[in-house]
Amino acid sequence: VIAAYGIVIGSVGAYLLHLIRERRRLLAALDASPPERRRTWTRGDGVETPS
Amino acid sequence: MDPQGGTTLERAALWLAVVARAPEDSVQGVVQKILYVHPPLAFAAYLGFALTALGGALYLWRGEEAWDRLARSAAEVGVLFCTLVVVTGPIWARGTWGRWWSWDLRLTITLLLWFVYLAYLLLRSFTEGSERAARFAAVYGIAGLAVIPLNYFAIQIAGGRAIHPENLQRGSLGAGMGLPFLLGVIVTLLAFVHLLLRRLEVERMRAILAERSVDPTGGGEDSWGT
Repeated sequence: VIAAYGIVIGSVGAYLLHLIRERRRLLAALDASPPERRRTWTRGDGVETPS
Repeated sequence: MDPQGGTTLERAALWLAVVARAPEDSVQGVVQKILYVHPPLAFAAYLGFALTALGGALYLWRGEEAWDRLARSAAEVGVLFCTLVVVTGPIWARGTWGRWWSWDLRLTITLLLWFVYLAYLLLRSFTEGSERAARFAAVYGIAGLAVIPLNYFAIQIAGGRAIHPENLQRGSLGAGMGLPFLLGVIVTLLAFVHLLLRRLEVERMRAILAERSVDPTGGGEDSWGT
């Protein structure tokens, strides 16, 4: 019984850890990748302002 | 640790405490306590595969990638829970039947269900990013759902030849066994939802990253300073 519960908790915990690590890795990769272009518009005086 | 993860852990700890205090079965002894985890895992696996089929159907209908991501994520989490069903079952069987496995209809169909969605995941991993493969996988995921009712009603189909116990019904549990079983179902389903949400987030981030790597400039018509 302890083996059964241990396998279940261990497996779910290991998968959760894997997802947490993968999320961290992807966050780092997203930070390192080029940012999305932001739309800007130019005011009459020539100053660019994010919309 | 995030608050959601914390509460999931707290619920799991409460459930384990209730399971530890649950009365021992007079015939099977302590090994019967696997009951509080084995069927709930099967319910979560069924839910995962049902969501795979639903996501696939909506992807075919609407053509939105988000539904394909749901199908893929639910299949992965569903396979995890189905794997645990296939692992915990033989431990219980060894304790009660004296052997790890029997080619009983329920056990055989559970193994088939596991293989069907394992093949789904293999298909997805070999054909990553292909729209055609996503469409094929959606149809496959929907077709695979037919195994679930077959699995659930396997005992009735097998008639008296089934070695696996019948499905639980109201009143079929002994005194003091209802609460740990109910808690087992709740905790397992909450764990399933928690893992699915995290898996979906990972899938969404992968999609954004893939989009950026295809078009590293961002793809928009506007640009900085224009």
